[in-house]
Amino acid sequence: MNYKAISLILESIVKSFPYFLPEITLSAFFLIAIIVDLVVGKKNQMITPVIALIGLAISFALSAMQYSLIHELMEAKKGSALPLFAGMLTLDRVAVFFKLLFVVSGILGIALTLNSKTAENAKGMGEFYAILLAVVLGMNLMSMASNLLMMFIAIELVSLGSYILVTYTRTNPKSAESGLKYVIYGGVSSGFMIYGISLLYGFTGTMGFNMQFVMGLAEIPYTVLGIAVLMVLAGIGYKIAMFPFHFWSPDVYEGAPTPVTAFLAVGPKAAGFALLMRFLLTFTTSIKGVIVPSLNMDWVSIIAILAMFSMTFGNFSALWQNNVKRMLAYSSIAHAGYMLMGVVALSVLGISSVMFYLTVYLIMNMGAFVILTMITEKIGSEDIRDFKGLGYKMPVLGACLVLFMVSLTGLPPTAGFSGKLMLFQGLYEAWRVNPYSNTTDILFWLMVVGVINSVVSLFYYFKIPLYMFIRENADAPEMKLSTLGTVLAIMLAIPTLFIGVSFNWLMDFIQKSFS
Amino acid sequence: MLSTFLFWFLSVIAIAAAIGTITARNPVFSALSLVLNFFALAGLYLTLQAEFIAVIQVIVYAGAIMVLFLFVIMLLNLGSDSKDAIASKLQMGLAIIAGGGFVLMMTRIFMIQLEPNKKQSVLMNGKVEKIGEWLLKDYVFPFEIISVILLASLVGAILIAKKYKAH
Repeated sequence: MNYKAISLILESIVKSFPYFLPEITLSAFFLIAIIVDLVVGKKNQMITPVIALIGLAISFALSAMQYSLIHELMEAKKGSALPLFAGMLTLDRVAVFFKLLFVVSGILGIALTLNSKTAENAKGMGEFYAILLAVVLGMNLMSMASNLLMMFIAIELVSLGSYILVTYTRTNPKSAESGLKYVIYGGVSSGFMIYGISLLYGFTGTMGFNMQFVMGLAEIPYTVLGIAVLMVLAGIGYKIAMFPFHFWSPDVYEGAPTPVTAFLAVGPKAAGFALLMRFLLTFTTSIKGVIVPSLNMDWVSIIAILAMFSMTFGNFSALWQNNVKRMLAYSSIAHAGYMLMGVVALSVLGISSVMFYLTVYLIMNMGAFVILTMITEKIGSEDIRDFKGLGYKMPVLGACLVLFMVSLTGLPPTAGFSGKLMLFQGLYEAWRVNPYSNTTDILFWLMVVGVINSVVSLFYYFKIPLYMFIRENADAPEMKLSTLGTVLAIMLAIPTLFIGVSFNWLMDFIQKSFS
Repeated sequence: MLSTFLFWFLSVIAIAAAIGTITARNPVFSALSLVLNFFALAGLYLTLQAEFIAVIQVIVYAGAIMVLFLFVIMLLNLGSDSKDAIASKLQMGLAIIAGGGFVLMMTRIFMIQLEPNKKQSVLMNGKVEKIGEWLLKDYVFPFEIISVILLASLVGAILIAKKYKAH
């Protein structure tokens, strides 16, 4: 046995730890939250959420510091991506950006939970926050994974945590049912994914996203490779709720406690996109700054077609929904479709527009859910028709909700508009520059479908303002809403408006990740 | 010669047991044929020199998981399946499409000529020593992350199974 090789690998693993501090913090606080909840959780309900928030805050600070760590590496001309733990993970600035996004979604998820009545339907909320930390850890790993096995394990960590969060209010039969559906769909897509991974491993003899992997795949016939990659995409597509792997989302979004729905719609979706882009970019080469698919398999067209179906299916199904949570579930499928436009563009601009849109989506979707949680819990109904006349009882929050809906539709002057503008711009450039001629037509049609869908989405998003402000209701209930919720909603409304007016700073910040 | 004979022998058993699993009306019989299928598969893994996965197959699947299945079936006291549970036309269609895709993929895979040294390296990885080495060397990190998954699922399983006082 070669002892020298072993000691080399062990050394590289030990050296990786300083770059892994945000995740170590999350794991440590996951354990602390469980233990503290066991010991003093009964007496003091507030202690576990506070611990979880501290953990997330520390992890946020440590992740932010990684920007300068990578900057130092680049100064020393050691490259902008750092392989960790024998190539299992890759730390680059794209991953750091996503990690910051995940922590923010975790913090907002906890804030939403504290502001809701979720605890009334559950037996102790301590483990809820602990599991949420584990999910954030899993998402961090998803954004960094550069090995098929690591990818699978990270997705499983996020999935298992999500199942538990969805089922948390088990007294509600809907919550239990949606949890079961989520587990079954999740199990099937994981099965597909691991089978696809086993095929890819068999073809190449390696699981890392490296040259050996891509070279090994070059010899594999088109059909087999296509099926194997599609199977891996089933696992990732399930996380981002992409057509045809979206079937779980309306039921799960409806049944889960509303704060969990808000968190699932944002966090794991962003993590899925981070992973999808890293996985797909493995099959590309950069020629003079232009990214070109390196395999003879035309996965760009496959993703483009799936994007069209996601948008169209999501938006047209949302038109018939009267349940707010179901409507937002279909809307999230449509948004996955929009973001896939950026992935298809396959350029620095395209990828940064996806990151931009995910940031915007986090803000506006969380904002919409903050207000909807308060309203639905107050009136005890999730039906839009019951929102009649509520707008005049809560003018400030009503206005904020309208703002979030305008933003989700993608109209100016909101963040949603600038986000969509970026996505379309990325796709337009890709279509015009045209680095690979055979997919041009499909890029054009994808743009057309995207524009039509944006118009369609207007009809269902505006149902909410319609009922809240225009339909009159003399006996609308008085709405006395919590201060925390109001503050949260306003805090999220400000950036929604601000990024709509001035978005260059955010785009510059994101594009720095690629320089 | 022996390995060819073993391959055909075990494959026929595996396929027959799989068909038995989905056609049996009695759930206990169905579960037992699944056990037989697992054993046949374990034998096939052994012929491929994948000792570790063969042992795991027997211990985890044929042992732990199937015992759990049988317990659940017997505790719920399921009767024989009624006749109307036969697969619908849609299910049949989907099964035919999936099966056709699988056959297509497999025929294409058999046509691939892998380089002999790559084949050898994949085969070598099935050995127990090799797996142990991998787990404590290159794959020590995913191995540790699995502990977080297990802890989170343990906590979740207890939460979901806990007795509940309705309000």
